[in-house]
Amino acid sequence: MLGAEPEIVANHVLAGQVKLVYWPMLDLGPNSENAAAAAFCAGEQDPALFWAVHHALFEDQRSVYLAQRDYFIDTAVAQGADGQAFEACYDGDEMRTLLAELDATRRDAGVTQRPTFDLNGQRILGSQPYETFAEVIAIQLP
Amino acid sequence: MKVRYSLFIWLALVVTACSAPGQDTIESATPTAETPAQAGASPASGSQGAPVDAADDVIFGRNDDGTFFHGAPDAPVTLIDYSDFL
Repeated sequence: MLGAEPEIVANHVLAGQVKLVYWPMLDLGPNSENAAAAAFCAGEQDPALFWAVHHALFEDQRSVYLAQRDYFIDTAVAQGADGQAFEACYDGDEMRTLLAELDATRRDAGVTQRPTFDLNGQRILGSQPYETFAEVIAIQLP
Repeated sequence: MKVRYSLFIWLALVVTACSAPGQDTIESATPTAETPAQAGASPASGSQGAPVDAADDVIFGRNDDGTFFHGAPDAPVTLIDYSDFL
């Protein structure tokens, strides 16, 4: 999600109202998993790097479709990840296993549409303007 | 000259005394990142936050289920973004 995210972060995350969680969906072939692995492996070094790579990949989404291994490594390193540690994670099985487990969990939860947003159990389907999120957040706040 | 030097020392001590508590607070809110993933976590419940970086009101961390979050771990609303990078 990038569309409404800046406003959600500025108005609700930084205000302590919302905790934003990214949950990967792996529906579109090997690069769905490779891109998620890139972000998660960067996050393994520092959670802030997860979000940096997450944003970099979404901002360059056209390239991600056909990207090769070097693209993901270069993207992570450009955001500040240690290349050697990143490659070990990216090429290993541990993160791939985690991603498969997370993907299976969201399937079991009945999440099938990309993207889907869950706010304390209330779901929003598809990309929506900031105002839609703001309405639901306002309802959810104590 | 001595008066200027004394004033400088006094100001330095005041600035140091005022800034130290804030730095301690940030450091104490910076535990180590958790290891990836305990299997079986559900999207609705897997959000026991462990903040690992806190500066300028920006907190990034990792949940027990291995996912990453941005924001206060105890925020009243958890927004889970299920999406594909493609």
